[in-house]
Amino acid sequence: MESEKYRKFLKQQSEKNPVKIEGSLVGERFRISWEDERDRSTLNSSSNLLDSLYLGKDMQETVVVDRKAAAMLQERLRGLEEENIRVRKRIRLMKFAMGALLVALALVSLAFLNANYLQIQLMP
Amino acid sequence: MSLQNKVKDLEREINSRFVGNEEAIRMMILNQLHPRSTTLIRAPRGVGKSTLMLLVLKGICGEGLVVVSGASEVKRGEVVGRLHIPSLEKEGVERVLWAAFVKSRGKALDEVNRLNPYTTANIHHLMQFGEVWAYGNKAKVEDYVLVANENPMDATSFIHPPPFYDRFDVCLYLRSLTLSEKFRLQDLLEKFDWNLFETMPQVFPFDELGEARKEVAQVELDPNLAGYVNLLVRDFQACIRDKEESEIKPPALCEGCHFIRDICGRIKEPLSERATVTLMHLVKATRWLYGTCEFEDILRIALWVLPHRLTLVRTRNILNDLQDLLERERVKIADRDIRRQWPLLNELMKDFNRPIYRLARDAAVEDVAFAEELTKLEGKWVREGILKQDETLSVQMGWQRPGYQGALF
Repeated sequence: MESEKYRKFLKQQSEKNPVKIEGSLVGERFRISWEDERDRSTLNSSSNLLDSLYLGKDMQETVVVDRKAAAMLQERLRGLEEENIRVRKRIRLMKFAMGALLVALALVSLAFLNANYLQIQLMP
Repeated sequence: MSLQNKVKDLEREINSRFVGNEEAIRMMILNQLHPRSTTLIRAPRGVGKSTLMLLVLKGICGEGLVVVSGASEVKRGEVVGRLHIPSLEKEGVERVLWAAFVKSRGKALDEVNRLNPYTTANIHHLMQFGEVWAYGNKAKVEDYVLVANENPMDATSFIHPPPFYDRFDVCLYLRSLTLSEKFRLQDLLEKFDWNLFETMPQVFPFDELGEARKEVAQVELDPNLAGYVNLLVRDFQACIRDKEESEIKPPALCEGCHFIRDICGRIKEPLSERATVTLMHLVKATRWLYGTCEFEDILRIALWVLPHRLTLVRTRNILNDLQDLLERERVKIADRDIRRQWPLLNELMKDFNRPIYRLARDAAVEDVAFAEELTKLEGKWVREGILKQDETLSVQMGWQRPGYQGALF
């Protein structure tokens, strides 16, 4: 035998967080949904971080990110980090290449100058 | 002046003589608002345990308070009673002269940790049954205010049994003073001529406290608040592997358990039902004194009701660890709201419905307290032939409530 207060607690909780049951519970054709008026009012302005990023909507005071969106952002951050590392490697390589090219250019210039000098010397 | 205002006056008067620790004082005042209230103050030496204890008792009982100190040699006669020798010699009758501690309204126990086990046992009996025994005579103890203090770090401590500490409604921890607070204390000491206790007036006499206690007892609790209190205590007790009766305790018991990351996995010795009783008293007192009590208030109160009642798997700082667990409880309650599990249970209690039952099962695998209620309903449906035993959550998840041949213990 359940306590009357326990039943009242369950009833009050049901009123506070209602479950919407559409159709008859007796039959097989009915739908259960969570959404209530309180949820719906918060849906008008987006608290979703992705909506704010991609659709330019204003964020609420508290930003709610569901697990999928958080995983997506995590994945994107990871990709950007990898991209960052790859680009930095490429920049370093390019710096070496530029250095080597400069050295090569300097050597070629020197050789060219020496050749001109010799040519000048050889000429009577 | 209303009784509520008088209680607030008492709090103000104590705050005007005691620096810092406002939350502990607030809780101490709230805890006086039910019959036979018992308060334990825990703090290192020199933080003001005895001062706070005496201020509260003097503010209520005036000069009618008796202090038993664990630091001095305490004999049974001083705590319970002694034999009246002339009656024994002349009439051959064992008459007992009951100690002032038994008769007084205000009972103070200074340094409980140093109190000898025999005295502690007598006080334990007094708190448990509201009576004392000596030489075959019994004395009923009238309503009282009992405040005790201890420094558990003291090397000369006796280790008292956990049930003794469980009899204390709340356990208040005091902290040392910050720099600015030290200056404030010096100002106060000069203002009150270096005697905070002697100058403390009797702000709220015991008779008026009795009236307030009666009013608080009549406060009707909202089923939601009662539900939150019961849920909180159950979350700190529940174990799908029945740790209360198990020889193996967490964390070893939790190996491989589905709920290993839940609150239950952090608690070695669970709460007693006294925690519920005390929480209910304090919630009623909050409603009576401030006119409102929310779930947040219950969490705030719980911080002082739980620390001396449970053993955690790992304790670094009991108050911080408890705050962490209470924060988890807040999230758990919000999760329950999101999953709509109580409305689902409400529907199922009216009648069995398979799609709702399926949703309830999904919620149950995330919540021990809910799983217990659902498995109880499953048992009923199995007995009524609505559900097969093999289909039940308890069978499929291997969770069993202790019982024999269908009869639950």
